[in-house]
Amino acid sequence: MAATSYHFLASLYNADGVALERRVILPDWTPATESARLAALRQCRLESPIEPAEITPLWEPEKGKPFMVGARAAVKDGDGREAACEVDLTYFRAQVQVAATDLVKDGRLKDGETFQYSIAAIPNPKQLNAPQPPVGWQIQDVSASTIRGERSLQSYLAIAAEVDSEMSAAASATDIPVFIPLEVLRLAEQLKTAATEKETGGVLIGNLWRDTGSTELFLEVTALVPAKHTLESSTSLQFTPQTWTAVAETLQRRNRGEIWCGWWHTHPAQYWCKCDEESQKKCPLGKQFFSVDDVSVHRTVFTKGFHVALVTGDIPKAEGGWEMSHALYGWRSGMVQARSFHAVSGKYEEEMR
Amino acid sequence: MSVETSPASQVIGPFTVTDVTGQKSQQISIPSDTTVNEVCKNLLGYLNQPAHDSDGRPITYGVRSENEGRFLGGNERIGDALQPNDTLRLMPTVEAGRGSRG
Repeated sequence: MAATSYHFLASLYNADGVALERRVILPDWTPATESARLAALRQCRLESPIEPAEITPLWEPEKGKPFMVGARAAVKDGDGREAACEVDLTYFRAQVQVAATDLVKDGRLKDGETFQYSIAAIPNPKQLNAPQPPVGWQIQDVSASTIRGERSLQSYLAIAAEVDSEMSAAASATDIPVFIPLEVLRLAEQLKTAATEKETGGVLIGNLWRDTGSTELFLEVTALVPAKHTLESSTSLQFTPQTWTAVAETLQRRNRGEIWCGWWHTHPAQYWCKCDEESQKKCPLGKQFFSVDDVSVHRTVFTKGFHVALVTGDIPKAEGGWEMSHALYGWRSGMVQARSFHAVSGKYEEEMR
Repeated sequence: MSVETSPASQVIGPFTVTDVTGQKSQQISIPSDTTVNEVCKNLLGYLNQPAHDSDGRPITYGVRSENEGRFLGGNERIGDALQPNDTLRLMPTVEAGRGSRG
């Protein structure tokens, strides 16, 4: 949970800079605070930060207050040690998009028209505290540590090959290393092939380790649990409460102390694409992406800073036809972004167990 | 099903309420006449769970009792449905899709 002594205003302008709308927004601070918590675990081993996290504006250097260039989510422990996550104005895009949709409905903005926005922060001390429990309720955080123990990161790197996402660039260097066995990737490909034109998915399970002798964390995916009780179409995949129950039961049956690491789903783009053979090679659907709906799933279920999402999609081949490719997404600075991962060969199990 | 009847004003518990992954957990003691819907509504924020999706549509959560091994009805009263020390897991219905590309 997060607390702030500000409230936040979004101002929308058309492409000519004419003001269209100004409204109070309620940003979702969970991704930023969870990124700060992960930073705390990585940098200073803060296992139990004090609730709530504190949100402060980052002021625009030229215009100054109340205009923001971003915000800072900070967590502290009882000894005053602090870790933080800074977000830029992109972080507020979802709330701004809602306002823009209303403007389109009102006819003040055309559908598809470009607009600009700014975010301002106004002091509001009364809003400082996070929500209080109802009268007569006692609520206490009893979350257990997700870190399994210590292992050598170097020994994992020695048997892995990095798989870069073309969208991730150098930013991925700041992410925690993620290891995915080749057999998990092969299973993902088999399941995608079996599902033909429909989307399919599952849950990634494994372990979060602390590197021996350093504060660094890394994520080891050990298995993909295929999702049951889903509703699929060629362009959507619905996970139900029964889906999650089946996954929890699988974890219990395996009894290996694994945790939920993230999720996996497919983009069967070759069935979406209606291009002719030549233009198929440049089809915009034949690229890896993470949709707004995908972000919504990640935000709802996979809120921890280390949670990842694997997408297996179709990519057009230069010589024609399609091939499968894997892309990994994860939290970075409070946003879901493409990132790299390490594919681990079959020796993984023998060498690490 | 084991049933415990409690006076309406009695506080009962503890119960543990977790998110889907079990990685965020809250221990609660609450009035026995609290409904499952009220538990869900009041605990979402504590479990970092959103009430609405990115389009502003409400997210539906199933609430499953680990001890009972079943999903609870929204109007069931905690004092009637559960024994202390049970764990409730909040499980949303969510949809991935091609939708609009982020």
